[in-house]
Amino acid sequence: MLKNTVAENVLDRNIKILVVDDFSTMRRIIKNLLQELGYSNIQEADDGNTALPMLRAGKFDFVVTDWNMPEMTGIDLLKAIRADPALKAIPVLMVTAENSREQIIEAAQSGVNGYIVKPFTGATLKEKIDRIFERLAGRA
Amino acid sequence: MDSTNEPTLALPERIRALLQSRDSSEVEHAITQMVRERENALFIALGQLARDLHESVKNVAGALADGSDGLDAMPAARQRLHEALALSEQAAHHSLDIGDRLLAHSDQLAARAMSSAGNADADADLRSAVLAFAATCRDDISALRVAQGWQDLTGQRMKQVAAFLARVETSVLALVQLAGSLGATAPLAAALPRGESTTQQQVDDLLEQFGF
Repeated sequence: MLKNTVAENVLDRNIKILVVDDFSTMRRIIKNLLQELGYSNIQEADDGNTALPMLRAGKFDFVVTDWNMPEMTGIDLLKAIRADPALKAIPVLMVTAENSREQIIEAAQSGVNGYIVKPFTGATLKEKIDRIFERLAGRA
Repeated sequence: MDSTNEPTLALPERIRALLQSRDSSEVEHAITQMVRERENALFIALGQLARDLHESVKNVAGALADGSDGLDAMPAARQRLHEALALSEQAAHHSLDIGDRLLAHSDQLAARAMSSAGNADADADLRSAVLAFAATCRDDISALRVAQGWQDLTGQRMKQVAAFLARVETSVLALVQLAGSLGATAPLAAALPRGESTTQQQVDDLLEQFGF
């Protein structure tokens, strides 16, 4: 069961992560930070339309996504993930410049696991990731 | 003076004369004539309005197309935004490349300092200083790399502005087309009287004065 698999992966630095952002700079920054945190199995996608087939084709354990992207936005990707029985347990962290109350509520109601507003620091990213996996471990 | 006559007296002489007339065909003809005069005034106003709108839109479209009057052409403005976006992306990646190299150097320096720990000839104070320096470098370079996120934030704004310009351009083009079609047909359609070919001719004559 994927939920258990994710929970078992708490603090497992070998988990497979997908970073989704239309800006290559931000993908690289997030990837760098994740690598500094010890995660090395990281792949990239430039929007939801690219990300979704990758998620369906490979066993990803964690998704970090932007909100505002062409074609398929991050919130639509999140909803698609939660609507897909094979993907719905994957934790999703949203890293975005969108900081309106309505959007944050929408993300929460759509099942996001964490929400980081840009610009952010490496410490914030680490804190949110740790909290996500701690919560998942608590539920397992 | 009888107060009930006041409204009648306030009417123009022409209408008061009509009210006194017992010739119904004369009355009908006079009323038709007055309506035509009112319509003509309206058509002139409409024609001027349509012409002004047409000219204004033509000026805007011309400015957008060739950048005259100091206005940048809309497509060129969007292109420049995309160029700025690409340049900022290159600059951010360049900074990230430098950060990667500096980080590798500081890590190598720290590794060498650590490996000298077993060497009795090595300066322990220098080793500590090098390790501290390498740690500071790592933290600062990492922060510097994260700070390159400005490109994402400003780039998103540029994309939003470019998209806005594209929408404005589309709207202006639609307005130009609309103004063109209005200039060709709308006043004529509005001027069509019921079974009054003479009025149509008058309208056509009037519109002709305004270049339609």
